[in-house]
Amino acid sequence: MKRAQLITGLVLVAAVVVTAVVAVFWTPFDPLRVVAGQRLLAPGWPHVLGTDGFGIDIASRLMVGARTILLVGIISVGVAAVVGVPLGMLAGQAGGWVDEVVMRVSDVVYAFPALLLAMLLAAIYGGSTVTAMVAIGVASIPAFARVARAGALQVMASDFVLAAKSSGTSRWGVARRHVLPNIAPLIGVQASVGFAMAILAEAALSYLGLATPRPNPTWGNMLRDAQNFLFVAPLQALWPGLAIALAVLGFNLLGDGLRDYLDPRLREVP
Amino acid sequence: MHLALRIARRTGVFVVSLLGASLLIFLLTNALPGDVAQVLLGTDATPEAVAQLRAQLGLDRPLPVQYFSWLGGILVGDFGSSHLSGLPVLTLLAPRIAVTLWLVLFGMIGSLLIAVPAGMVAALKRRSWPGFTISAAAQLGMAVPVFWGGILLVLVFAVWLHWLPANGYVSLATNPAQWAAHLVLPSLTLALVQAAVLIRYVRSAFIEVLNEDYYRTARSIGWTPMRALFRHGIRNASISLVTVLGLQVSTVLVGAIVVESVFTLPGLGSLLLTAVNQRDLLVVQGTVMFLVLAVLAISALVDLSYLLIDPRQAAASEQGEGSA
Repeated sequence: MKRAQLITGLVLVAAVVVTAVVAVFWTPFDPLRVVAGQRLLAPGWPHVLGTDGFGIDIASRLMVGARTILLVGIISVGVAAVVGVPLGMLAGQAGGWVDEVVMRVSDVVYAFPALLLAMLLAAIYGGSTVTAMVAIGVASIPAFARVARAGALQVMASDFVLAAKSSGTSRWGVARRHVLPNIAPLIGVQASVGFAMAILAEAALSYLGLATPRPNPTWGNMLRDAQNFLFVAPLQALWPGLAIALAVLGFNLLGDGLRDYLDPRLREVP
Repeated sequence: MHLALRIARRTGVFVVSLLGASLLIFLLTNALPGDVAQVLLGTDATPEAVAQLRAQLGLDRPLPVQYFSWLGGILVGDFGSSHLSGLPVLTLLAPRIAVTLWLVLFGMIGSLLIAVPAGMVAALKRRSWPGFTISAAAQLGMAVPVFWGGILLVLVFAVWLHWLPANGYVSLATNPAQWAAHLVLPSLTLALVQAAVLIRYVRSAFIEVLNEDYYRTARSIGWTPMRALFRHGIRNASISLVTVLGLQVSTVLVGAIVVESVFTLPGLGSLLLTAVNQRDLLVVQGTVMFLVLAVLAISALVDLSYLLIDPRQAAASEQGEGSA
């Protein structure tokens, strides 16, 4: 059962990655060029999923959307992990007032949803892929900090850390040799779940027009366009949403599956 | 006595968080590259005009002075004014708060009405198909972006069935029936997406109860599983549910902002979005501050109520602090 989850997750994530990579080199049609004569075609051949309100092939735009979502996910999750993990480890290892300060600041940032941060940034710079990545990345820092802190606390309480400390290993050495390797799996799980969150956030932002602007396709802004044609071409509103849902499901299942796989206590006895 | 101490501590945390949040918002708008006056006037403004506006808005003062005068304003309810209309942010917010509040309220109530029964069934039948189906549906629901959920509901209930309006808003005072009709789909959207998150927590809370001695006792004296869960489980589950709801406040609020956009409801979210598009920076700043204030205040209240509802918490805190 658990294995099925993990495998489903892996397959879905792999599908997104492969689509995105293929889209870098090839799409069936030009994802940007407006073609006047073929607006709102129903699914068929050669336009497998039909065309949108500008006469552009929907399948091609979906493929490019996978590229965008992967880019935003990697950068924002990367930023969050690179900032959050060391902060969380610092808090967990140092304890005392350092812990208190780091976690309080983290709580403050946690009260800021990515959407509000993105709106502030978009008001200043205009919405773009970059403001979306920054907003999602910053908003995801607390989650990584918490996971890293909790993991660090657990590792610090173990006998091998006591042994390392008593044999003169520095704090830095303990962090590098003992804490980080032991919390790495937790970080991996968080990265997968964080990726799912990032996809949802990016989709919402680009739906609201606060992220990657048109004509560049994202799954979110495709849905915004599709909404204008709900009464004439309802199918258009299905594909991008389905793509988002499957991608998010994939990363969530992957995260859950990894967590269960890594934690033997959670493994179900068959 | 110790309870009072904990309440004081939680209030202190609230105040500190609020200060931190205000500092963050202020620095984001004022200290990053990109000049407020320039943003407000647009890129083709003359340097003289920009300088004049800077002086008018007090942007030529040192940053700390600016921060404290902004913060001082917020403490007395002055969240700044729109550069475009000249109206105070609170005046702009006031007529819209109700819309967002209804949405958040109905969304939360709806999510509980869905998640609690579904979570109970998922716990009781966790080894057979009803439980399995519910868990799978919840997993799937968590992957559905809230705006797509809204669009799908519009497709079904407005486009195909013609039962409900696809978008728009009528105020309660104008026409209660129309008001309700326009809020059904937005609230349902929010409720469904939120319920998907909650079901997991409800399920695991009830599974915990199933392993308790008092549940077994209740079953052994002939109570049905449902009755035993209802009488004993609800209280236990509600404690973890309150915690989750507190953590979810900001998610629900963000969901409401997005849902407003799907259904073109004139709430806080649409105000914010319009201000962003018009680059009315001070309105964005003020509204974001207002929303963050609301989120922090609600989560503080949830924590406090948690402390008061659950006697074990208070007892634990007294023991913990007594021995320390």
